[in-house]
Amino acid sequence: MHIPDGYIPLDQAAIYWIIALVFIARSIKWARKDMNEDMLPLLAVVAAGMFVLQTINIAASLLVPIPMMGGVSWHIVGAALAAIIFASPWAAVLLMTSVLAVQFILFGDGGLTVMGANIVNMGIIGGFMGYYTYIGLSKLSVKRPVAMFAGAWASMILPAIALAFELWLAGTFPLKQGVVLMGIFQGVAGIGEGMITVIVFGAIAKAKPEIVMNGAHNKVSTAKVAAACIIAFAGIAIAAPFLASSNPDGLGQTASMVIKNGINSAVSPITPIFPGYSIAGFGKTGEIAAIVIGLAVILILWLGIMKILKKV
Amino acid sequence: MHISLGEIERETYRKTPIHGIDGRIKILMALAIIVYAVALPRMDTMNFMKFGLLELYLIVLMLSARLDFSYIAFRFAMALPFGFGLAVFQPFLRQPFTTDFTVIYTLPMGLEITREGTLFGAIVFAKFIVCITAVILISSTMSMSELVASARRLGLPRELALLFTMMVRYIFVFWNILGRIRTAQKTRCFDIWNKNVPRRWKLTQVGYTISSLFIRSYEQGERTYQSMLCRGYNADAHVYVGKKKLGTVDFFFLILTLGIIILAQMYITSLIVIPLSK
Repeated sequence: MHIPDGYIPLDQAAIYWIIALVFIARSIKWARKDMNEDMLPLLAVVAAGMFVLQTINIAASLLVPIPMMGGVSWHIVGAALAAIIFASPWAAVLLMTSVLAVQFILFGDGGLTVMGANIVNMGIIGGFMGYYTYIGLSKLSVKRPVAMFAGAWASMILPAIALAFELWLAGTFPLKQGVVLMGIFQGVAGIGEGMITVIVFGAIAKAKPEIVMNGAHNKVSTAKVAAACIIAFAGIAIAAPFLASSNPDGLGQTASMVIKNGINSAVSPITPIFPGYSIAGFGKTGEIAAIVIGLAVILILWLGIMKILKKV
Repeated sequence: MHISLGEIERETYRKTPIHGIDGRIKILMALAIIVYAVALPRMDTMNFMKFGLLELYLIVLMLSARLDFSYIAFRFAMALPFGFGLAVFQPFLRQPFTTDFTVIYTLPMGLEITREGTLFGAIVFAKFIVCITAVILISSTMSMSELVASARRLGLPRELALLFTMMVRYIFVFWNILGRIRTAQKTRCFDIWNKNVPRRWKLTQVGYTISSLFIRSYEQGERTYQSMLCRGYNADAHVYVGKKKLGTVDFFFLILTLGIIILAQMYITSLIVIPLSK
């Protein structure tokens, strides 16, 4: 899932780099200042461990019991795992940044100009969305393993969708096909990531309980989780019309005509949160507005339920 | 699947003029080549000669560094899949930045191969190959710690320098620990592909391997941090990087690389344009 050099034009790559650098700077500040002591040396060593544990190949047949998958393997990414253990998404940003940099140099995975984009996907989107999915669900008193599984799964699928959008913006890959292909691939890998995350967290909590932060969800303010949710929903709201549109930019009539029907039916579970919703006369803007309003309603409902749950 | 880390590091021990170039120059060379290759227009047949020249130059450098051929082939094979996969699709796609498409071949089921799509796919793939070659060259001719030290000399912020200096030191330690865990599992007949064992159990074992590695790295981190504190570490501490002077050879290679890029840009364009204008 690492975008290689050359697949994103320089100007767009620069934008991702700027976003990534802001987050990296903040994550270093987190490691140095926000903790009780300077965590940077410790995180540097853990980053080396993370790098090595990403080289462990796990047979895909453990995940999908299809004979065809016999020789295929996948490996865990661990963005959500790191964020959950250190009880901060900044840990994921810092660790994934260092792992991606070394992977690029040693294994040639990813690239130099596109490293910003890769950090945005796997470190920032994966870490933050994975962590806040976990925290949000824990706040709703979902059982810990389930919340953790969902967080780890989100940390795999959301970066894949972001990657599909980035490649589409770069003009390298059509949007729908990209979302479906990457979504299916990472969605399946996400199941493994989720299971392994639950097992690993359980094992660490048993063997060395002092390093995992228990009850982190009580310390994170609801406002923070809500903010993460709003950002995620805003992302979906902006993205959805492009997905829902039958012809995002003329890429619709492509080679995939053959599988078009299949794709439409496969995409539909994601997109039509508000099928056919649009404010007449406003076109795409109206559609986005409709979805934003709709999501705001969902959010208000959700916050209301949270309040009620807290009182009970 | 992955090549052994030790093998990558071993290639950097050779003593050739290429290995001897200062790390800063090698980083700048790779940076210049990668940025130039990525910046080239995405629809231009002239690109191929430029990519060819850059790739030729990089291969000459690789050959003079006496890198093992099978090693290079393996490194390429490892890096290729995702980029190759994306490039292979291009001939069938209608790129949004072009409007005129010439269909050069129609496959059954309405699949059409366009000239523009093929051109874009080939260019994107060539860019990718040049960039990968540059990275393989620098990572095979200098050790990770030298690379970090050189990056530090080039002005890498000291927090990042600390992060990477410590990280690259411990990668090899944990790589060996993982090797030991694997050996221990093998002696107990653990095989992840074994079909006669429940999948759940195997998955748990993998989970334990990962958690054990994580805990060990965490504990190592704590120990290292404690001993750093004992030796007077604080947040204002710098990673010491000794000064190193650039020699004539270093400047020669820097100028040579920039020269090759300028040659690719100026000469190849003019070479084609002049006959056409006549």
